[in-house]
Amino acid sequence: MQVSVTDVHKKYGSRAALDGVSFELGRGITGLLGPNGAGKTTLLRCLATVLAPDRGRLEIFGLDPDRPSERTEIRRRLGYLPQEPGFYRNFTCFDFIDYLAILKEHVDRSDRHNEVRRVLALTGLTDRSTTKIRKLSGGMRRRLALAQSLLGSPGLLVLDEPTAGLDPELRFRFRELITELSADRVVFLSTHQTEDVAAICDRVIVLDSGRARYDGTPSGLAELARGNVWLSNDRPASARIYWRMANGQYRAVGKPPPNVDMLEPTIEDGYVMLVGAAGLGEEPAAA
Amino acid sequence: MALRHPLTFFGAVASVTLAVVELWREEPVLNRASVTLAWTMLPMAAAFALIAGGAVHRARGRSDAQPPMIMPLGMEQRTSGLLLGISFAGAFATFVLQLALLVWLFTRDDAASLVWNEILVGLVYVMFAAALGAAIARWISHPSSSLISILTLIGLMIAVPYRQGDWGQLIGPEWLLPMAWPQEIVPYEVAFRPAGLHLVYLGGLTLLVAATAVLGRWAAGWTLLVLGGSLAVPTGVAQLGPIAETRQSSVIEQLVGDNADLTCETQGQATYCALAGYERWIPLWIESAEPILEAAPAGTTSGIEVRQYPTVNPLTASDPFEQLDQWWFDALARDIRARPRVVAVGVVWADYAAFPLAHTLARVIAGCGVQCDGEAQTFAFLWLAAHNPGIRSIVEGNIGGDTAPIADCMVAEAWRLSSGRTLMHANWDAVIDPTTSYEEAGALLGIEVPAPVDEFGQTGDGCE
Repeated sequence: MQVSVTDVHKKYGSRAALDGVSFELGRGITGLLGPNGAGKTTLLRCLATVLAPDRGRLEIFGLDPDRPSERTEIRRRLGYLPQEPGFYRNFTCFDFIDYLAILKEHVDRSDRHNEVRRVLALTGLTDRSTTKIRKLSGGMRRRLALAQSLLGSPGLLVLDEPTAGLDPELRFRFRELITELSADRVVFLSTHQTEDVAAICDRVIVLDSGRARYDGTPSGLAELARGNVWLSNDRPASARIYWRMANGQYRAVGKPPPNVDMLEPTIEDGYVMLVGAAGLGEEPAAA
Repeated sequence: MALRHPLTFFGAVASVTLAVVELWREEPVLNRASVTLAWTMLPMAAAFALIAGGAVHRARGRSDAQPPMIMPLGMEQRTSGLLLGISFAGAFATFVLQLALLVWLFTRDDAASLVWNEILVGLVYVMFAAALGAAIARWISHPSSSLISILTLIGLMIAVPYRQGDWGQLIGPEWLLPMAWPQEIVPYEVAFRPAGLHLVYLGGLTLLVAATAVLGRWAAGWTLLVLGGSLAVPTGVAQLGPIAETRQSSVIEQLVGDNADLTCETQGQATYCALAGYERWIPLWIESAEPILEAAPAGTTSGIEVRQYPTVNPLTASDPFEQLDQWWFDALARDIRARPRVVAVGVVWADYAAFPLAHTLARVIAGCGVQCDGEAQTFAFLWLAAHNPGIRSIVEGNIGGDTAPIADCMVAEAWRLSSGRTLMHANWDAVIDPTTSYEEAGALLGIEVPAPVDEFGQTGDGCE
């Protein structure tokens, strides 16, 4: 396994952001789901060598990020897409990526410019390479942020909400790109979009209150809600969550009443059952 | 991008404005102007301190979780790259400004020679300021580091009082500061300014400050520290060293006395002697002296020598007794006293400097010493001196007041006479006699002499 997280703890004051998280990552795409404040960003920052855990152990490509020289080596092989990339607004797209390429030790000017053009092409920004960042839309800025994470073809991609703010077409393009990239690298992405997890992730980890509540396949997550998803003509009193569909019926997740039409569960349903169960102190129905 | 930064523009405008204000009034003396071209770059230095500090802050990003902070190249290497780019951009911009100012100076009647070591101090100072801004921003991540940079630069210039020694040199630790102000009353020719040593010292100081900006696990920071210290420490010590005793006599011999290195030119009735490098000013002196010389009676201007001495105050060049505490003034005063027909000029020339030249020339022709002893002699001196437009304006201003000096009134009366000059020439010897009174001179020239109203020789209304 290329990434190993063992009993990692991280506190902010008295609040535990990570409370004994353990997992391993190999090639392929692993999704990270969780409610706000679950500790997702903290976990990603630890993997991106931004934060050091208070306790526990991280190992990335067999290297210890706690040691400065090994941390530098990890950063050479890491691509990180943060929630806020901190653009230099007066830079052009090309200049910004070029600057980060320099920081990533691409010293040869010709090779570096070729690399910059490559990542801009991967993210569909070739036509915008001379456009100043302040003139880009939110979606294009997100693509630019993704482009910088792909510099140097890193072995580990850590992506924090990569599809936030992207329209459906761009989200599909992103899925296509990430799927291609995951063939020979580790991709770890956090998202609120369960559809992205269902579409491209080989594996999903659900984080809640700093703990990993689920670690398995997306279909397995959906199975957690089997027998707990139904249709109702009236507002379902016993549902943890429900919503009214276009045909006027209600789709409910929770403890079903008798004699209702059950539905095939989705990842979203399983997520709700998992996180909702933890919040309400109840266990989900048997898978 | 540093060159396109708005602060570069404002710094350049401020520096050029400062330099022009300092240099426009007088004809450029290139050795002193070299020092001016250095210290007037202070606004540029402040600008680049802020630019460098801002760049380091931006490189740090708004949080540690942004891509620039999670790169193999650490903050030390990043800061060094920024510092190299910005400080050399600042040096280039400063050099362009200084060259432009030099071109302007060369279009005027410049004298003496450029001192490149002094000029380059201004350029290196901009690099020093950039390093300082970067260093402070590197270790103080709060935006207030910009203010700290500016306060530090200001403090370096004003915090340490400048004390002057007998040689006009700065004594104590002042030369250890990045910039050493020129001494206003000390000519560059006699001031002890170890400009070459100071330039190297400032370079070493810049490397030291740059080292603090890039210190970390990177070996280059420590290398810079050692290199900067190796340059700054020995040159810093050397520039504070004592002045060789033999230097005093060799300096004086070149500037004052019979063996002084002077270029002399005889024009009409007078000889004009300029120090090396000041020959271009001889026509300016001639232009100021000629009205006086032409108005003087025949035979009264033989042996007149307009001679340059190393002093920045033209008035005290002719009245040397006021600055006896300057080490070279004793030699200067003795030389002037030994030459009764000499008119001393200094190493400053401007429109206002024509006044003391005319003033002294008229005194010498009228036979006065430091001041005229006789009443009529005073009138004769003033009549002659008023052929200088500046002195004439003063006389015209005096006679328009409630009271006026009697001599000024007599000069005004003499102007009204169509044969004023003829009468003055005819009665010259009697008029410049120290025992001749105003009334006696008035009788000789047919001029009405007003009665005095006080003991200072002032008269009342009716003079105009």
